[in-house]
Amino acid sequence: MKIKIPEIGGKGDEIVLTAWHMSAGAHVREGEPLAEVVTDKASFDIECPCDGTLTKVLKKQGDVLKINEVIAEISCSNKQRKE
Amino acid sequence: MDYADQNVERGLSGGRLAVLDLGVTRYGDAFRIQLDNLEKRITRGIPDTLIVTEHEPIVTLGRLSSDSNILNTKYFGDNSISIERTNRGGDVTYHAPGQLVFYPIVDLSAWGRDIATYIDFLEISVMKALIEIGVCAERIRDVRGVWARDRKIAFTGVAVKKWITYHGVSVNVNNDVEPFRHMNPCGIKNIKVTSVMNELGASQDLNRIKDIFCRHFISNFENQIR
Repeated sequence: MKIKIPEIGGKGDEIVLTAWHMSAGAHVREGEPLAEVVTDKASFDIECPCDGTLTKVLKKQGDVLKINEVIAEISCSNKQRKE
Repeated sequence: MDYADQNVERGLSGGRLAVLDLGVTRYGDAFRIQLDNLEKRITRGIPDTLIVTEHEPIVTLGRLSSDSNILNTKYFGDNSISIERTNRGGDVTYHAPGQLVFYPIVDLSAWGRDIATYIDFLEISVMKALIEIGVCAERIRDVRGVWARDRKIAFTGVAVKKWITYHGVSVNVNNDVEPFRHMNPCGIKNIKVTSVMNELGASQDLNRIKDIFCRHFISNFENQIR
């Protein structure tokens, strides 16, 4: 499952990846904070959408991102996953 | 002092936005109360809540702040004003008694999960309250905050967890704005900073001002989620 930057508003805002809370290969649980992104005036936690394994980390701390840009991939193990 | 145990409601919680007035707090104490209310809001243990406080003197830096935006560290040291990093958006700002700080703990799921619209709500609520008080307040295109002509009077910086907001907006009312001269407020160079007191030429009844702000937050909040 691809993890994308959600539409957090402010379409012209620069979005900066400020922290990873998980590393590639980590077992993750639905709802756990995965990464933090920051715009001009807001910080926002991106969460794991499902239980599983963080298979790919595609962006690094400090990268400037766009809405819907893929930052990671998770292999989900549970049937129900949060979109 | 355990502010959480005070649980002071100011009688303005008749709408869907409850008000929790903490009085004057240390920044760290108020931050812990925010986190406590944030977790309760996530589990739906409390309604959307507007935390109101004044902080003891402190400089705070947001997640993308550069230390270089503090121009005179010695000034703050000499005046026993601590400098702390925090996890909100926005850059550097200053808090002190006489400045009103509003921390809405609000579920943005009812707002279309749009953080920019939420920040607009903060700024419009503050602007309307300031205009009622008599300050010629406005918002400026492409620059966040609320302004009295070319002077900044209110400062935004928020954080969002599980689509619940914390942190918020601060408004200079009766506080001395001299400390802002020793930083680049919000990371902007060479800006002037003002207060309600400076704009109106007299110290204000802070409880009256607080009530006006709470009324505008509640009114705009109800319009937003309607």
